[in-house]
Amino acid sequence: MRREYRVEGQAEPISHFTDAVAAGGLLFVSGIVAVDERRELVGGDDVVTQARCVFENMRQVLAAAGCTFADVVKVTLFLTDVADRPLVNPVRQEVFGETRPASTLVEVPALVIPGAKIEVEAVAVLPG
Amino acid sequence: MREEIHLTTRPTLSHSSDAVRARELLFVAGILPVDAGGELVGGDDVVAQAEHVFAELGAILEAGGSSFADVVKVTVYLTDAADRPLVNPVRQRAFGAARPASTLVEVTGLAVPGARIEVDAVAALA
Repeated sequence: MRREYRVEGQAEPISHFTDAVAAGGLLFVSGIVAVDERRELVGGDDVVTQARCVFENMRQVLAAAGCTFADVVKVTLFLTDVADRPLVNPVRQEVFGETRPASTLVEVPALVIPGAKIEVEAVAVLPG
Repeated sequence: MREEIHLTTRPTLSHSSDAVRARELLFVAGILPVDAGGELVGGDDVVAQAEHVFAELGAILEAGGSSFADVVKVTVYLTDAADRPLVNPVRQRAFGAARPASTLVEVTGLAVPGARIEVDAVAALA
């Protein structure tokens, strides 16, 4: 009852992991950063543009498993500057709308992709 | 298969629920040492902060149909990993005989200035 998802259009995982794994009726989504298919940073130094890219990537990963943002149960946000939180929140509101996943947000000194200012991982409930 | 838990006694710091129930599990949001108005609790005392956080965790678990004995996994975020020995007794009191899987990391900042600890959890339903 374990299924791995490698999603077309997403960059090749930078390490020994896949984009998402389904288990127990839930989908566990790997940490997503603002990169394109070639793993080039998107959004430069702009955390809002980066956040939009992160959530667009997340939308694609969720969709590959038949999920939408309305199915997301938990998100964990890693920011390199916690002062960016007020800039990122409107993007979250846009993408989640009425849905409010449980959330954790912490500041970390660095992310794996140089220049990345935000990484988001998620757990979603699978349809059915 | 997805139900949001919102406690009226908790502040809304962002676009989040206090917990979300899905399938057989309850996913609890990261809990900060803040009161209902979003103000820091415990000053600079990480033990007082931790006691508040675990009291809130207990209340959220109960509201979500779970308990400390049902917790599967906790993640503890500290702004100073050296605070770990101070926080551990608080965890022991909260969990008693139950021992959840656990991750603890040091982070450079939390959403509320002055907060030294944040805890999130996944629990089975009681």
